[in-house]
Amino acid sequence: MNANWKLYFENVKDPYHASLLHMFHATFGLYRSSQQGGVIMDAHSRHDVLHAKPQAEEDLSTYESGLHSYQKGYQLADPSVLKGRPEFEGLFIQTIFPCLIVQQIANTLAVRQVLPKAPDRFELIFTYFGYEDDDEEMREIRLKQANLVGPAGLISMEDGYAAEIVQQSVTGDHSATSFVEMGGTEVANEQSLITETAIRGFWGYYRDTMGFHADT
Amino acid sequence: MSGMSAIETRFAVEDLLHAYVACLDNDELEDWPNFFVEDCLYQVIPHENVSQDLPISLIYCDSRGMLQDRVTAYRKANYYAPHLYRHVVSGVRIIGEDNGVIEARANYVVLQTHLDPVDYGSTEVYSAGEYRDKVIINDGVAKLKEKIVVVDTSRISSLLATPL
Repeated sequence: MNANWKLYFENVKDPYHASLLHMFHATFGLYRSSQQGGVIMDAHSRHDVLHAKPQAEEDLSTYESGLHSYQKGYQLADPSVLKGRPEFEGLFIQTIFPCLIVQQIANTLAVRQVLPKAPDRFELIFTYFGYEDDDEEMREIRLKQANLVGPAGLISMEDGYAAEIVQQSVTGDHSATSFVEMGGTEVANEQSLITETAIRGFWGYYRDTMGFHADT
Repeated sequence: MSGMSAIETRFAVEDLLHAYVACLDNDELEDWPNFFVEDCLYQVIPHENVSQDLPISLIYCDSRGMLQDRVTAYRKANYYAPHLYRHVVSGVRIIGEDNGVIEARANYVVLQTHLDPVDYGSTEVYSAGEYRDKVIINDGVAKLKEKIVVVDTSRISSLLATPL
């Protein structure tokens, strides 16, 4: 990927972007910000787990009234890709500072390693796994659901590509700064997916570890 | 197969391969699923996994419907940098036939030309690998029963949006 590794890592810590960027997942109810869930961090706000409960039947009127990631009336010719089996309570995505992500989305289990290669380049290694005692059907479910996320994922937009776009946007102006404050400036666990608390926690810990000093 | 000579079979398989890659290179993806029979397998899998007998794939579609869904997602939902593909196919070999299903192998290379403002006009070797095809010929029309794309290039540059 042609981006700084931190752009990817912070992206994974952000529960809010998914409903905006991941059109496929929003449309088919795999992930929406309206889900119950939240973010839990370790004491230093380095690592966190983003969790979301399974989707109950919900009122989709907000989505239908204009959220661009939601497309009404879009049907799959073969919905078997969405077929799953109850296994875990919802979705869990853990980030382990600085470079590991542990993913459980529906029945896909994977670790993603973020390998920084240069200030503007990193590699992402996806390792999927199942259980030795998975039956044939479960194995098939995991293989099929793997279509959803990853470099060839239906996820749209894939997070790595999002990082590349951000990289292209920020490299042009080294001295400029901008700040978008969503939900305050605090770093604390949240019982909602509409939060950037884990992103602030990550950058704060990174800054302190690197010995950088905040201006404000 | 219905009484085709070996040379006719070879031409049918080669024509299918060339039409298939032309479809992708010319951005005629709506036709892409039609190269397959309804009950088909399209798999893009790293060589690294094949050699270790590991099944996880980059793309795993086991019906023509799943291929159509991929095209719909590509057109309506996916975000990716604009690009061109140019497939180069060589070394076509018929390696067997079983019950009217012809098994073929071919090498492919995909050159990708960037059309985004940052890298506009530059071309890179995007993917190299092998097509492992199973072909059925009915009434002179060859279709894919199976296409397993074994990619040597497991390090995907940014994304794999357009099929191989």
